Amino acid sequence: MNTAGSVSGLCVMVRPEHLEDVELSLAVLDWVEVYARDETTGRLIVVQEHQTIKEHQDGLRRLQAVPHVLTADLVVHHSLPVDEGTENRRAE
Amino acid sequence: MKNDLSRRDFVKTSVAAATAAAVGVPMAAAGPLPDLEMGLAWEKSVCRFCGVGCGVVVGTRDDQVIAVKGDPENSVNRGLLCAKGYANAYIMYGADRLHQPLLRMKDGRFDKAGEFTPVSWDRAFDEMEHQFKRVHGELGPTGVGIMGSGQYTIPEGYAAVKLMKAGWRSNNIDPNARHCMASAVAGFMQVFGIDEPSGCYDDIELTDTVVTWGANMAEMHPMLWSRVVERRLAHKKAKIINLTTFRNRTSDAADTEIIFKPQTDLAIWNYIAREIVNRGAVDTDFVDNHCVFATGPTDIGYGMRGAADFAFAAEKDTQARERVIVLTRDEAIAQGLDPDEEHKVEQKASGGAGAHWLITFDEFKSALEPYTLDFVAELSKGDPDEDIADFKAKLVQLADYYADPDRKMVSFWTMGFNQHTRGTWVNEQAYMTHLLTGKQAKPGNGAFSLTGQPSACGTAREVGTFAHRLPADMVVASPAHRKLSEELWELPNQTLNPKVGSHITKMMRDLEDGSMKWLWVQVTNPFQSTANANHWLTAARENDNFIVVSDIYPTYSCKVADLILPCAAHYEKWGLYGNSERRTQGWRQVVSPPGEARSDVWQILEFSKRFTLAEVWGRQPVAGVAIDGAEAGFLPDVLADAEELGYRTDQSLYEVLFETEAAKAYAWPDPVGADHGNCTVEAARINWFPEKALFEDYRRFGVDHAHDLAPFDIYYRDDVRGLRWPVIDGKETRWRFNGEYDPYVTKGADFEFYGPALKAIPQGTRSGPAGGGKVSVAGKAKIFFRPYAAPAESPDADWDLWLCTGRVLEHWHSGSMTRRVPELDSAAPRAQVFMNPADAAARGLARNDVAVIESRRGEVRAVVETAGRNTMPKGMVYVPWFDEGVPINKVTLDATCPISKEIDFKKCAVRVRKA
Repeated sequence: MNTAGSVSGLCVMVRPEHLEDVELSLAVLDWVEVYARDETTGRLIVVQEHQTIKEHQDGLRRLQAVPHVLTADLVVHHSLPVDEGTENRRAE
Repeated sequence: MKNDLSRRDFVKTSVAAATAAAVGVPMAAAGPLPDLEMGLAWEKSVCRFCGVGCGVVVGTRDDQVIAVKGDPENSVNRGLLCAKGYANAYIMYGADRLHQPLLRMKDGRFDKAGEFTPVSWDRAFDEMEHQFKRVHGELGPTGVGIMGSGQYTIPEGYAAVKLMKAGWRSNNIDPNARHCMASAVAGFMQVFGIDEPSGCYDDIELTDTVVTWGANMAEMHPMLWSRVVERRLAHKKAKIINLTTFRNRTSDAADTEIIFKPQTDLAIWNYIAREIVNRGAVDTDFVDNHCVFATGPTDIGYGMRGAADFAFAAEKDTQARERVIVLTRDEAIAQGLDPDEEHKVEQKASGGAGAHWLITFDEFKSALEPYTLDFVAELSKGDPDEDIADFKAKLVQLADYYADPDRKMVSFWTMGFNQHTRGTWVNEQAYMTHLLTGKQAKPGNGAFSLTGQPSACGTAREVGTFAHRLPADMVVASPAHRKLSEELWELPNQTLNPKVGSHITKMMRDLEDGSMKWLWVQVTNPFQSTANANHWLTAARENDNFIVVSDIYPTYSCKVADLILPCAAHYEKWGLYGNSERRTQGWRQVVSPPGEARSDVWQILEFSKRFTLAEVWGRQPVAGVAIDGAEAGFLPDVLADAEELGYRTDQSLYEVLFETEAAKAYAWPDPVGADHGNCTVEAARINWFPEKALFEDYRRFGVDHAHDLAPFDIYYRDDVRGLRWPVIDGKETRWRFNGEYDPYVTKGADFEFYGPALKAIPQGTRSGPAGGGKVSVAGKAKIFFRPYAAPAESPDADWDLWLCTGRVLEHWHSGSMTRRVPELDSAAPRAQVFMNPADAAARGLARNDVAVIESRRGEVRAVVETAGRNTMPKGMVYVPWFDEGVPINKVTLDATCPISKEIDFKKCAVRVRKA
């Protein structure tokens, strides 16, 4: 299927005392964004953009390697059809 | 949605909202979601890989699986997926997928030295039949075998068992689950008298403590691990302790990591039990009312061949330990013997290793006495660089947790326990501790064996694709079980063979010594996965035998086969699996198999057409069998009885076993399969539904025998994501043996360990059974005393390192599917040898050097890794076994637990040098 890349929604688990450190670490990665946090349970909702599955898997591994990240699991994966990508490129 | 958001921003916000909703994290609403369905047809299904049994949703278009996502409606994984789960969409589309049968041929004829040549299914089955009948005529039913799998679907495994045991009257069928789960099975049977866990995954969200013993859940069961970590973060009292022989990813989230020396888990459990007893922490009400104490022989050997005839010269010293050993000093102490004397012990009980008898609580208590903190800490500390005081403090903390009546405990284990020369013992010890403290079969409390394969429970165990089993926990050695099975299968009396067949490792040995000459390998890769493989690879290629391998890709085992049969893959066929928590789940065929690939069910049914009753139900030689009214050494001729039942002797096994009137009543097309194909039906050109008929035929064994499954159609309902058996009146059972939850417990009882097996045993003392009859322990669980015992082989001056083998997150088992997924392959392209940097340096090795790993049995080469996901203590190396380019099972030792017959892949002695 022709796509203009994909967007994945991930749940990242962290000890609550390390949430801030992890958010700072993620802030410097330009291919992920933190959309929500749950301070009680130490969970971050992170969205990752990627062009290929390999990029996605590499990204997942890099996330898992961030200090204090306990788990990073894929929850939602959405391939962007070409028209969405085109629209996006126009928007950019 | 804000007006200035781009379409991509909108998608990302929607994906984030959907993610947050799936895992229960609060997030402001993002408005209506975009079309995340991508115009695909989506169907609920089950992951192909591990025993967790995650629910997936499969998206298809144009007869191809395009995408897979976690099923948010499935309570196992709640919408999450690991890297392998995500790859379900791609495992069928490797470039070297098998499309056609391949037979070794030369000059137009089968030749064992010939080249693989494409042939028709008819030609393939012709040769397979010819070779079967040649071997069957020479050796009888024990000359043929099937190596099956915990990856069989339930209908596949059931069809294979029925053909083998009822049709061919052979018990030589055994699954790769023998390598994975057999010690867990033996532990369940010995302790509870019935297989599979009392609890379920719900325990994770209800417990205060998770202790992992030889289970790297973070890599091997990632979705369950996410639930464990979430519990740790959400529940203030929650703690995680990881007991392991080397640091792994599970330690990252653990509060305490305990690195212990291989095999000393046996001693650590006894230390914990001793503390529980000496502190007065025994739950006396629970133990007095629901438990008894037991023990068994210690001179049980290591499940090796023993006879030196086939041993390589270098391995004769290890093999000799099957006959006689001298106890180590630690073993002597652990058995309450004088450590300053020599104790030479003949392994007399190796043929009856599972025997056991009752002992008193006082005997049990005195047996634990040697397991002091000092003794156990010195014996078991696994990291030479760790301070002994720190290690002791961790053991004390572990005992504190188990002994605390106000702390709920879950103990998880996988291959660290099961692949162990005392695997059954160490399983029993986990129950020992949980039963002593009353922390078993209660919500949030329980010792829980995690499964490796997707249907090790549902098929290998419940269907009974083992050499000793029949469906629903029944065994071939029991006259009552054979009689019931013969009635359900409508067989003449004495059709079933009472002599236990060869377990999977023994089948390899049988190929080597020529007592088996025809083998069909289904849904497994045993020539890569069985230890001491140089023996079996040689036997396969050089002996007079015929080996058939059914698979979807040309695996390592295919390379030593004589005939390769191409199979339909997971989503190309109908199936059901049963996961670790007794949950049975079904899936529909959503795409078609390629080329001439056929389902395993079709292959079994089609091949059964080639045998008449007259060919297999006459008098058959089986060495050592003794049946009332029949000549010793033979199964009786049952053809006359068959005719009395209304069969004709020229009828085929297909007609008698499979295409029965009852089976044909399950018509195809079926409403449950509306809008779905069935490749078995299409290839067989029939108008009945084999997978449903097989499942319903099988289901009769478990009903009213504490293994009740729901009718086939229930598992395919839109609102069902599997059900945990026993399923009574449509309701699943979460905690067995607990009167509050389990309808099989006698009304009014709080707990009842009602499993029927092995519930009449003699009285005795620690030294052996006393005279007198057997005592009934019906309704009780057994608390076993088992001593520490040294491994079959340990490092010494010549072979100075421990070798441990196992898996990695990215690859499933032998990598036959996951290595065809480029993303997984590139993430873990090769097996490395993980080493402590000091051990590497001492051998002139550095990271990324090529090393030779050598044992008494063989050698392989692998790249050295001194960092990465596993951190090895000095003295131990770890090599994953997924990579056929690094066939580490040429190096490992085929010692087994003598009770379960499961190989210990975790311990043998090697040396490592620079290549």
